[in-house]
Amino acid sequence: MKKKLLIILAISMIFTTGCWDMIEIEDRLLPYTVAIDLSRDGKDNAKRFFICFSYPNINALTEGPSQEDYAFLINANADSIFGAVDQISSRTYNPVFLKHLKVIVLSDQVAQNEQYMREILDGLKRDYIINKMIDLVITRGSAHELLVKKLESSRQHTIEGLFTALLRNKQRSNQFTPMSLKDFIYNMDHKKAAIIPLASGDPEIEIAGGGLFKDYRLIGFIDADENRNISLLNGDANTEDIDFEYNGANISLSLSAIRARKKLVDEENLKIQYQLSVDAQVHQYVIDPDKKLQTTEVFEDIQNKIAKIMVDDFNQTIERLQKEFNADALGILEYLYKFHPKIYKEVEKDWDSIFPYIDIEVDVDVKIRRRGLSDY
Amino acid sequence: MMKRETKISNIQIKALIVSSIIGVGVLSLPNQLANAMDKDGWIAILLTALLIFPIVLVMIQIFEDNPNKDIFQIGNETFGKPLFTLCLVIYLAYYIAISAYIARSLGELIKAFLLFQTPIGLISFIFILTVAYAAISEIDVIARLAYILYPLTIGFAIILILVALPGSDFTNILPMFQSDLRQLPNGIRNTFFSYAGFEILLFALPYVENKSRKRLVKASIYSIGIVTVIYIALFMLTLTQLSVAQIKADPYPLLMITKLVDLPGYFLQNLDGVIMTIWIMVIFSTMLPMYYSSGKILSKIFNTKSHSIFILILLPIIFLVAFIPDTIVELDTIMPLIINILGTLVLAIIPLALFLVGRIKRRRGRS
Amino acid sequence: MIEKISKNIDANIQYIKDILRDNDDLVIRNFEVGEVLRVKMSVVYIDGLINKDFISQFVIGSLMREEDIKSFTLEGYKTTIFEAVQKHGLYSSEIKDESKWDPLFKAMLSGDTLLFVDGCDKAIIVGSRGFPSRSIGEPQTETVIRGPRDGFTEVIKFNTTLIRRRIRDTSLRVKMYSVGRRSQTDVAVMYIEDIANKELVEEVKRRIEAIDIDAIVDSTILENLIEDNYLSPFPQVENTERPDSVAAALYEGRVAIVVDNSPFVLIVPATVGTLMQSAEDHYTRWIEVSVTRIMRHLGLLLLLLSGPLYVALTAYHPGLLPTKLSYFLAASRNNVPFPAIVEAALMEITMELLREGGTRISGPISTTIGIVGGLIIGQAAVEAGIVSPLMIIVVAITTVATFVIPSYEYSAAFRMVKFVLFLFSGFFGLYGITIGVILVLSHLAKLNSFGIPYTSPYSGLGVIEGDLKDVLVKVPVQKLWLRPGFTKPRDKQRMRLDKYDEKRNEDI
Repeated sequence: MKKKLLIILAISMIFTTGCWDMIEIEDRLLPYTVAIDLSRDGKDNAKRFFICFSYPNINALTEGPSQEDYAFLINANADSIFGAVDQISSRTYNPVFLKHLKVIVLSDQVAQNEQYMREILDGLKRDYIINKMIDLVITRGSAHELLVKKLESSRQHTIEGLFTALLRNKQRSNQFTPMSLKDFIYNMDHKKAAIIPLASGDPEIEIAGGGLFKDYRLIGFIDADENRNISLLNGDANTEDIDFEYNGANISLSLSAIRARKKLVDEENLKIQYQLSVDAQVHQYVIDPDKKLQTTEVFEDIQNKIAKIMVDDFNQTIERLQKEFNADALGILEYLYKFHPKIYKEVEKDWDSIFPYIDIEVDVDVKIRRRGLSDY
Repeated sequence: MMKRETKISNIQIKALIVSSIIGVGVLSLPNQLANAMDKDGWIAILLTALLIFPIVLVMIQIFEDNPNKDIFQIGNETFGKPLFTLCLVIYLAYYIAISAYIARSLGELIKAFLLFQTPIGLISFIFILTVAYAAISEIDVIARLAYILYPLTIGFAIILILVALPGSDFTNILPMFQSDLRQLPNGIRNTFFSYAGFEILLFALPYVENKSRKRLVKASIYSIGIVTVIYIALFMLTLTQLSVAQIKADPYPLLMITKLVDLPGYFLQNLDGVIMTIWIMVIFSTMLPMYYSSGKILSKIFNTKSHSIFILILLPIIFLVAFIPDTIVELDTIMPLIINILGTLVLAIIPLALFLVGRIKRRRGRS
Repeated sequence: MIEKISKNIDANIQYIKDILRDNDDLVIRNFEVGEVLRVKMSVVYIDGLINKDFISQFVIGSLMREEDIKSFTLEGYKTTIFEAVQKHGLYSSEIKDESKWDPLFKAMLSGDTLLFVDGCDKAIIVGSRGFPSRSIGEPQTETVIRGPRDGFTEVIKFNTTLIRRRIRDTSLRVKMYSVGRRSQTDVAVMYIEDIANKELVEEVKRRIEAIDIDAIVDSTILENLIEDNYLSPFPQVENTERPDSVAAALYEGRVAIVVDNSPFVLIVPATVGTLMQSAEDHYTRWIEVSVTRIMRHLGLLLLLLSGPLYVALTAYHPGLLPTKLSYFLAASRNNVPFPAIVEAALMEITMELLREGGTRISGPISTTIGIVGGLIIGQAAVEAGIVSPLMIIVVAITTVATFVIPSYEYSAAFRMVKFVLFLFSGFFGLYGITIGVILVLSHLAKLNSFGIPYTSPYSGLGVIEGDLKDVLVKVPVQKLWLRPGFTKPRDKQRMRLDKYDEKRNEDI
């Protein structure tokens, strides 16, 4: 009995001293976006970054809100995100909790510095709390101003943060490809290149195109079309819309069931062949009894035309990646590593000097399956 | 009270083996494998399983040779009392070390992922206390608990695989068979201790209901097979999610995977908490037989009827040993080293010696 | 104390009067029989416990009318008076002679009538029990949609009869005990001899025989006395008001204990599997049963975990919730002045009060309590900002979940465990809940019900026999051709498949 009493006493002592971690949910600051800029000239020159968190105002989320602003910004000059959290704690009465951090917006100046990028990403990766699927977004100019702009745009008001909503939009076009922290690091390990979506804020927040990274450093920007081409080639895209002129009228096609396969066709000269098979459906043509979509010949003609347009487009993008950027965003090195490990071992070391001269051929096979609710 | 015989049924023994083996090491296993053999770590798992199996057969054979005796009687008869007591002390040290390692690792992980401010000593202490509550009972209760928690052990792997499946790229498993075969011994050495825990057979076998050799061998093939499948599946899963460089850099790749899961619309968006919860139960079922066995060993050494008092005595000892290493780096280097040295004795050498000496003595006795 | 009755009837009557003094419901009827010998006889009984018509007509009436006894003279007969009375004088079907006072008093107090004959050192006990009793009605606590409507009453004889009517087997055993020094309560142990495990039956008998207590008022007290672990919150004995449930249990090789004055019959062994089965399960199609069983187990989890999880998630791990939900939760708790654990404690206490109030008071008032408690207090608490709406939902779910568990004692046990889990989660969040759940599992694993593991069949016993087919789900009857293995029945096979198939083939 005495033994039991002792145990009970010990347990009750634990309980009476306890509750170390109890912080009620409404007493926490739960930011969903963080923007990182280079520190601007000011009183705090010693710090490298200007870091800005955006978090929802929970007073505005209740029924009959007592406040109107649905999100707040809070910023600090610091050397790291965690330093910024520390700084902020002197100005807010609630502890910051980064578990719900969804998006990190980087300014191009930060992204161009390889060391900064490696440090910031390591911090995000190493931290126990931060979600590793956090999305990376890049912007030309100030990332902080983008967040300010986001506050002003009341149409684009969402609860979980605008960037998350834009990035998660299931119907999104292929103008950008979301890049999570995990994927970015994976790409850096295996492809040595990656594309982070590019956000701009004039006048509304928009995400299109991307910033091309090589070895953790921003080396240039690509536009939305190029991004689309790359994601088509990588097999990331599922649907796509395409417009072009045919027989004196605009024809609008929607592409679906896009399958891309790469293949090493010539081991000696490293010739890579892409095979793209696409299903198409006619969205819009023209009401004109003379222009009918009735014969197989017409279909084949259209198919060939699209294929040619697409191949030209692809070639341009590939050319730019190879010659201008010398960045393997297509993942050819990764492909060699997985499927041709012997060749990989030979080329791995001087991939930078080999990649620009690889022969890449794209083969597009379009099939028009449906023509919509019109017989001609 | 009805006089109850403490008996373990044959299906319970399977569960007991599986849940004793799969434990704290599973979270870091892909990391060790990748460090040793890159993407071919699964070969090491497979070979180790083949290596473990003869030892299990030897253990079963020991009890076949000495029917109706428990390990303590057999040991005393074969080795003589002083030498066998030394062996028991080695077992005891091994169990204490491994229990301490489990308790400490649990504390570190809980502190890192769930409770950031709570003192780590308290977290570990509560866990040891919980295990002690269950370890006071006899082997049949331990086996029951093992059987109850056994679906969780397998469920842990299945849940991990299910949640990670949507985001996996199976081509990442390629290329296969690229690593240096000379690294194989190193890999096997690393994985050998992922199978630590099957030595519970030594303490549990005498209580098994149906001791026919065929059924016991079948049960152990089954349980070691399951463990191997789980290990390989988890390793493959890690490969589909992370690059080899990352696996090598990450001490707990499986935990990293739980952080990668982000299924929008699901009630629990971040599944690391759920996985942690199940994992706590999994390592509870690993530590329980060890704690129980160390209590039993002490009660045999001091010749007492019940082992419950020793469970209480062991509580502070395990706690203190757990907090000998200062940092997590020390914890991850020193403790495995000690466990490896003791483990080689405990898992392989002593059972083999017991078997051989027993055989030799018998032959002499006959001639 | 005198042990045996004397030959002198006046002394005997006087003795009864002495022992049962100040009992005005004691009735003694003296009369004389026989024109020749005029033998003095007395009928003694307790008013109210017996059937008076029966005694007047078939005992006193028959004795007075019997020609043989009227003209009885010792010389003309080979037998004694006593034998004559016993063999010829009584029309009653149930008589027994007894010479000791103890059984005589016991019989009289149970509702039998004593017949004393002058000059004999034995008395005759005439079975005449006819005390007022409730008629057999529908069970109050376990109603079914489809299935028999009869329920046990307070009279042990009725109850054993109800069970016997369902088992016309020669190997059904009804072993009677009388327990309680003062109350002398009748207890019947029922089992089917060639199904039930012998050790189990012996153990039940041994435990009942070992009881030494003054009174058994209800079967609950007996239950507590024969339980394996009386400190545990979990019931290790099942109880039911339904004879069909008892019959089904007996066919599974379990043992039933019927206690006089209690409409609840005990069934042992009880396991976590059997406690989640309800009588309805026998009468519903297997798919529906499976779905309801799963819902019941879900209810158990909700009852146990929803409250503690709410505390853990809001106060410790907001990161585990989906982002949107965590913002809404924060917004809904924005004005609540208490930490989640205090909020939970407030609501749980209110709920317990309402439950107690509603159970004790029946009829229209309990409806009022429900409305006032459930609707008004909840609404007002949210509007006053003392609790968050989500907490109300959690408490409501918890309360509903307590009622889906068939066994009241079992759900009450989990309710108690829930409070402990609340404490754990209040101090250690999710880690605390996990530790709590492990402790509960360990405790359950340690429990036995009459030597059978309480966690059967989840802990291994009976798995090979297919016990898992009738726990979380129920497979069609055709697949349940073995008896549950956890009771270790002597006769394992319930259904012969070959015969069944033959019959089915004929039908086609």
